[in-house]
Order: sequence, then C-alpha cells, then structure tokens
Amino acid sequence: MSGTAGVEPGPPGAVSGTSGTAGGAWRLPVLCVAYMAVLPWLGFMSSTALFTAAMLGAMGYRRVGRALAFGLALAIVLHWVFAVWMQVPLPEGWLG
Amino acid sequence: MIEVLRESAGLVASLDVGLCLLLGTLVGMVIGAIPGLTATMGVALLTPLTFDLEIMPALALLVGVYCGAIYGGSITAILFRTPGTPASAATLFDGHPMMRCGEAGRALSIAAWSAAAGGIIGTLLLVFLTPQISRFALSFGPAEFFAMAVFGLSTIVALSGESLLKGAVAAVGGLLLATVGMDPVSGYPRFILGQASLMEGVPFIPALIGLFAVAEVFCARGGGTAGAGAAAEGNLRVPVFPPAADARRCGWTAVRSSLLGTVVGAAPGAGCDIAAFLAYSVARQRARAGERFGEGEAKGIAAPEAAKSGAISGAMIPLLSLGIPGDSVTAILVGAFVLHGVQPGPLLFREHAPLAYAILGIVMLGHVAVLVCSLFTARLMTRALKADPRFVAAGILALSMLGAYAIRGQAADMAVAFAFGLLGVAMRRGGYPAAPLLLAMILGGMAEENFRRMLIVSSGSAAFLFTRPIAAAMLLVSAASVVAGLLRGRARG
Repeated sequence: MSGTAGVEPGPPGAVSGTSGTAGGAWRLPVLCVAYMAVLPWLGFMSSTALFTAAMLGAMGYRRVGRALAFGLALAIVLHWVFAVWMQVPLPEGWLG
Repeated sequence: MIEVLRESAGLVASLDVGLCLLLGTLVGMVIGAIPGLTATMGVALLTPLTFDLEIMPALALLVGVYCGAIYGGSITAILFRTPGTPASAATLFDGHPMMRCGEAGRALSIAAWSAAAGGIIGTLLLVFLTPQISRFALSFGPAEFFAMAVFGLSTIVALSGESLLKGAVAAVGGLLLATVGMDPVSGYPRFILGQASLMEGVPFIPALIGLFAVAEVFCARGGGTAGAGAAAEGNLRVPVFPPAADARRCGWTAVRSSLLGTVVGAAPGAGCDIAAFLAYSVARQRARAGERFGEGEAKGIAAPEAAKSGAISGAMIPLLSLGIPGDSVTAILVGAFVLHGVQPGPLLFREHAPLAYAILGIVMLGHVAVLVCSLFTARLMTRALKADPRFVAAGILALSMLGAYAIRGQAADMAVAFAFGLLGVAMRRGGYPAAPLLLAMILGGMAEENFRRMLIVSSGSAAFLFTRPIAAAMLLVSAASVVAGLLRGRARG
C-alpha cells in the first residue's frame, strides 16, 4: 500500500543526462508550441522532420545531418502509417 | 453436442484461419501500440478488406485485430510509459516501475500470460454462462451504472497511496474535467472556452497521451526516457513462462480480475478501459502488507491485463447471444458479421450452432495468438530500450503529438495533449498521483449521466436507488470500502 500510483521519484540519471543544463526543461515544451503553430502552415512532413531534429538538438545531440535524416525518416514512416494506411488526413501545408 | 463441436472444429482448423488470425493479431498489436490509433479504428478499417475472404478467415482477421490492439498498448505502456490504448494506462502504474528496476522481460511476460488467462477464462464463461451473464448485464439500468461508477470512485482511497488528500485533490480535478462539454441531459455547453472541439468533453485519449507520454518526455529531458539506461543493463530476456513465484503470486488475482473484466465487458457501455481500471483498483484495495503497489508489484500488472482481455470476451456475450454490442468495437463487429451473412442474436446458437461455437473458438484462439505473438516480438521491442534514449524521446514526443491530432483530425487536440503534458509534469513534481485523476475522468461522465437519467426515470426521487438490489448492494460495498480504507489509514498513521 505504500507508493503512489503514477508518481515516481525523479529519475536519478535525468540531471546527468547529456544536455545536463538546468535550463533545459523549457526547451521541449517550447518546441511543441512551435510545432503546433507551424504544422498547419508548413505541412506535416516537413514540420515533423524539423520538429524531431530540433528536439534531438535540444537534448544535446550535435550531429545535424543525422538528426535531420532521422526526422525525415520518422516523418515518412508516420505519414505512411497514418495517412496512407489508416487514412487519417494530415495537414498538407505548402511543403507537404 | 459432440457432433456440433466436431463441425465447429472443422470450421476453425484450417490454414487460412490460422494465418489470418496471426496476421490480424500482429497488425492489431502495431495499431494498439501507436497512441492515437485505436482498436475501433483498426477493426473498422480492415472490415472492407475482408470482403473477398471466406467467412471464417474474415472473422479470424477481425477478432485478431481486436485482441491484438487491446493488448498492444500495454507493451509501450510498460517499456516507455506511453499507453497506446486507454485500457493499457492501468498497466503502466506497476509495469513501468518494474521495467525501470531492470525487469522489462518479467513485466512483459506477466502481462502476456495474464492477458491470455483473462481471455481464456472470459471465453469459457462465454461458452457456459452466456444466458446468465447477458441477463445480469442487461438488467443494468441507469441506477446500476451510477452505482458502478460510484464503486469505482470509492476505490480512490486505495489508489491514493501515501497521501489521501493528494489523491482526493487529483480525483476532484478529474471530476471537474469530466464536467467539461455538453450537459448530458439539457445539452447546455459547459466550460468549453468557446472551443467547438470541447463540446464532447475533454478528449480522453489526447489527455491520456499528454498525462503519460508527453509528461514522461518533458520530465526526462536530456536523459531520454527515464531509467531506460538502467533498464537496458538489466534483464531484457523475456522468459517464455513467468517465474513460478510470480505465477503463484498473481494466479488468484488474475482469475478474480478475469471474472470482473468479463462481467464489466458484458455490460453495454462499459468496455476494456473501465474493466482494467476497476480491476487494478480492486487489486490495490486488497493489497496485503509487503506488496508495494505503484513500485512494480506483479499483481498490479496481472489485474488490469487479465481484466481487459476478459472484457473482450465479455463484450462478445451480448453481441453473440442478443445481437447487442457491448462497446464501440463490437458495434463494428456486428456490421462485419452481417456483411458475411451472420446475424448475431438469439437464433445464432439455435440455428447455426456449429458456426456460433466456431466463433467462440476463434475468440479463444485470438487470445492465444496474442500470447504467442507478444512472446515472440517482445525481444524485438525490448531492443528499443538499448537505442539512444534521445532518439526514443524525440520519437515518442513526435508520435504523441501526431497521435493526439489523428484521433479526431483536430489540431486543438494536440493542444489538449500538450496541456495535459504540463499538468502531468506539475502533478509528478508535487507528488499528486495520476490514477485517481484518470479514474475520475473515466467515471465522472458515466456517474453524472446515469444519475440524472435515473432521476428522470424516478421523477426526482433518489430513493429509487434502493428499489434496485444490484445498485443498492454496489453502493453499500462502496461505502464499506471507503470506511475500511480510512480506518486502515488511521490505524497505520
């Protein structure tokens, strides 16, 4: 009966993570807001690729090329699963 | 009877049926694991694809998708704290902490076997007790549903853990969130902030995605998904059989949860998610000393898993015996059955007995197929824990935002997921438990709607409740469980 469902103490490794800066906490939420703002205008594929790459950067990953490649690959897979296979319409924007 | 069963066996035992069942299960598991894609969507999308198939392979494919999708969400709930389906959110309270202790394999194995046990027990009940259970479930009116919701809410005492006050605050928050949207009786829009997308209430799946998946990534930041590093060094081997100690420990919990899940699933309007949460709360309420629920207790995985696959079988009871769907997935299955020339209902068992029993056989095999597929794909899934946690975190966040969007195709739902992500972070920092909030959000609408319907039926008198024996009994049990919980808390404190 001890312990609390859904609440865990902060992970011990979180601060010593690769970004490690105390100010890192706000980065991902800010990126999410930017993603929501840009998505209808830029389109799903390009904004998701950029969003994912930017998140990797925010978490301290420094290889820009690989981050962009991962973002694009993820966007293509998600586009295939959601738009082609499950027929969920995704915002197209001007870059797709 | 023997003749009928032999004929049914002949219908089931074919290569096509087996292949379709396995294929459906795998597709279902992928759909279930992705937040934003639900079992209902999967079955609805695959139904037209079964046009060209024979009836048995077609039903096997759809049943496989249903069973697989309900289970698939638990894998991601355990490994990444990202529930793919609402029902699997109950599994992560203990499944994810167990994975963080480096026992991902053990957690997955317990989940898979409990789900199979729940499904098989549920199907056996379906074979032998269908008339009795459907009569019981259909006697549920507004009064009984209200009492069931109150019973669920009464378990918040058990779910709150260390601080009852914080649990109660979370539950009241959940109840308040449940009042958002159109008034269930008068249709008046409440607290919708001028947003048409809130008319139907706070969208539950985006809220769930936010509260767990988004909050998890926000909390972990640069560290990747919390504890993944420690877990990757732990035991990733997924044992085919769960350790004997776990089997002994969880056996009775799994059986009891399967029975509970089957009955809840059979009641029209209550599905796998309510079954899983109720079973988890009940297991937690009956916890003995030394069982650390919320920190990786095996019973906390077994109970919701057994209950939700029991609920799949339970939902089939009114479907097959009366032609009444128990939830949204079975509503689509009715359509698929009719498409293939099967009219579910009382005549099915009388006039097409071999076919009816063959369908039951497929439901049973569907749960076995989930067990087989989950044990064979588990190694593949746990390998994701060894990936760079930053890539996993970025992938989860992108998928969460998209999943929230895709569920209704509305950009506003992404904002809901984001807001609940921030709420989840704040709740974790303050030590507020998430389970009571979710339970109150699930049950709040059900309690309100049925209470008001009941008052309309009884022209305003709550005494009506006590002329309904099932409802009155459930209310008494709820009161007793609250009192017992408070007394136990006082004795300890």
